[in-house]
Amino acid sequence: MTYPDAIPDFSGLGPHGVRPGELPSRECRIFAHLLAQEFEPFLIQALYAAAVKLCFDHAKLFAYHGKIDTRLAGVLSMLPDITFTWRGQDRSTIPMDYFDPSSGAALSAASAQWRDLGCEKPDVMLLPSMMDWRHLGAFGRAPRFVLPRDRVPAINQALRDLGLAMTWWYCALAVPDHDTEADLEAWRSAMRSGAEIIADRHAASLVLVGDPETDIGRLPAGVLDARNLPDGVLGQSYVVSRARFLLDLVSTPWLWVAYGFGVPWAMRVSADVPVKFPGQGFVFPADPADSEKLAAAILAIIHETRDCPQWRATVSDRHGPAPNQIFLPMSPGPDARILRA
Amino acid sequence: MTLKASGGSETSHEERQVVIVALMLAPTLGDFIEYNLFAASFKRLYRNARLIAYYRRDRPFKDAVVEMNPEVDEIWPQEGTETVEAGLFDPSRGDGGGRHVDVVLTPSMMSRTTLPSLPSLARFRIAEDIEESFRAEFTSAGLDPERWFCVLHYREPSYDTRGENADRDIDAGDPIAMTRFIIDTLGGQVVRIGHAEMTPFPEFPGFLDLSRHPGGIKIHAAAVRRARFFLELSPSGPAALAPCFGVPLARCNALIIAGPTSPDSVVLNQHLFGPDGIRVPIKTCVEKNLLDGTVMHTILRERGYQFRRNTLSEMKRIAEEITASTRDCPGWREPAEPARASPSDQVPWPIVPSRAHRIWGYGAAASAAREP
Repeated sequence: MTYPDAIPDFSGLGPHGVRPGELPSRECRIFAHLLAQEFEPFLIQALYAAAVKLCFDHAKLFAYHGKIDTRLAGVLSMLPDITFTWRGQDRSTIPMDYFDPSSGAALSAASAQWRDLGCEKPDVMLLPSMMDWRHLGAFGRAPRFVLPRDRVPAINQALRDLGLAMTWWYCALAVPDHDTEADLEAWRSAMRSGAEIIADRHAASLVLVGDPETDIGRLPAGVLDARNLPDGVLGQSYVVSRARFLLDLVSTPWLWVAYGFGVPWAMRVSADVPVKFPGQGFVFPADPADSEKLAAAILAIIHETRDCPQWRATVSDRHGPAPNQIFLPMSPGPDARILRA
Repeated sequence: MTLKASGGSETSHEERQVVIVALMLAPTLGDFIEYNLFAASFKRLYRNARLIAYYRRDRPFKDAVVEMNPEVDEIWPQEGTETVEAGLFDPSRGDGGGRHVDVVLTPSMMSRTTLPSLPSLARFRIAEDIEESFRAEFTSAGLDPERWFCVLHYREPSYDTRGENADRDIDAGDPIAMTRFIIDTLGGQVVRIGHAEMTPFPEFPGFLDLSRHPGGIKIHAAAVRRARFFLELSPSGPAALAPCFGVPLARCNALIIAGPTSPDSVVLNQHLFGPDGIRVPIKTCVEKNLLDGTVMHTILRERGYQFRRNTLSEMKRIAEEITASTRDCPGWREPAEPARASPSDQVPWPIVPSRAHRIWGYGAAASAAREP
């Protein structure tokens, strides 16, 4: 045996994933507590955790959640960045002592896999209050949802059955939840105004996504209701993912779905003030009953998305190099652009 | 949730207080001290921050160490099987949840290898009465308060809480010889710290044994704070006190290369021998990361590698070396608050490990050779 060549080299095992001058030599371990039970905050937490993972060339994302409904489970199934998911019962959460890597830990996870995966030794821990939606725009690499391929044929067939043209663009319109405080009558009026522009002037469809329990009244010509597509949130997410843009008149969770798929969106806001929101989005200040401003905003986003004359292709991001770092805490991202006619 | 505008009454980023929860989860003294030092120093990186210390009251020193941490704003001590769950930080919970936190530091995020990378380390505090108590012990033992002393510590198998550790335990022979060497040859005085069951030393002038002092970790820390240097003869937790007071640290019989945080500190590792009985050069050990604390334990030992202790003459050379490099401290060390780096509102993460101290026999200045 001759030294040093015969001795194994462990320099790549640097402590906590880093070696001098470069990050990382092994995966950065991220542990995210996805504790939200509602659709929108869960979307935000899931996307935030994925965004943190994308900050590193080599990272593993471990997620924990309690008992979740099918909508939230659907969100997770669209997120390819999660390395391993721990599922709890009901609203149970993890004791902080589980992150004690010492042999003398007072409380330890029962599963040997916890330690096999290195979950007790995270390099980054994300808790709900840290995953602020205002930060998402500050991440250089946007997280991306991916629909399970095997679900797509059935959803496509359902959209054909609805009468959606497969060779022309459409706009997804977010329906508010049935228990929302939004003025549903004003929303229905806005839907009719939108249909006049999108269907009548552009021969495109307006496809509704959102809460199937919301009473939307009689469907105007050119409006298709996709709220009962198969696969629940997956079907509706697919609609959003292939839309030319998403129109949101009352701020719904579907904005986050659009963001997750890289789909442009336009959201009505009540005042002309900046909104921290990531992605290719626009806001347009308008009163709910102001059909003129709504029409102008729709025409403006049609113009902004003129590169999408048909169904939107899957976004192919061109990422720059990973920064291999985050900031604690992250800072808010830039303001969303204001859509002006 | 409805999207909110970012203007108006929203607190600006600069004004907001950053809430840090440090999970100081370690049953061992050294790790616990280091987590406290990391968390305190990390907090100082922020313009406006609040540090919450989460720890278990499972060892007698825990409260005392946290008390010495000057940056802790709130403590969450846990007894028995009590714990805090992640749900506490879930704003959607009405049942006591919703506690806001901006940063959670887990034990793995507070690695000792990153301490030297922090722009400045916090200094632990010692209460005046503890300082006076130490001074009284020192003078009543006949030691000269006008002359320097070093703190000496090593591990013995009688440490009942943690038990024997063959790689780390040494008997009292070499420590006694080293104490005499420091007093008789180097002209210093020696204060030994440790647990109460440590082997008694013979009495001789210039030596004070605090291992049985009822003041425990606080009186030990008071001694470290005023020492010219800390001499550790085998790996053991109390050495972690040295960086908490900016005191140079010399480690002998070390199993890892990390620990000290200052350029005037030095580590003399145990010698690693291969299965054929040939010594692995320290350069190879460093560059191939053999002394990270886990490689030897989990991989190399079963392949026939073994550690061999430092000799007495090697330890004497280390003592001479650190005595020379601390010649600016001829008496009791004057506590000094280090310059603080300009605080910010954000900290880049992760923090890259680095090394400031020298590794005996490794050659190049440590600051130029970052730790693998």
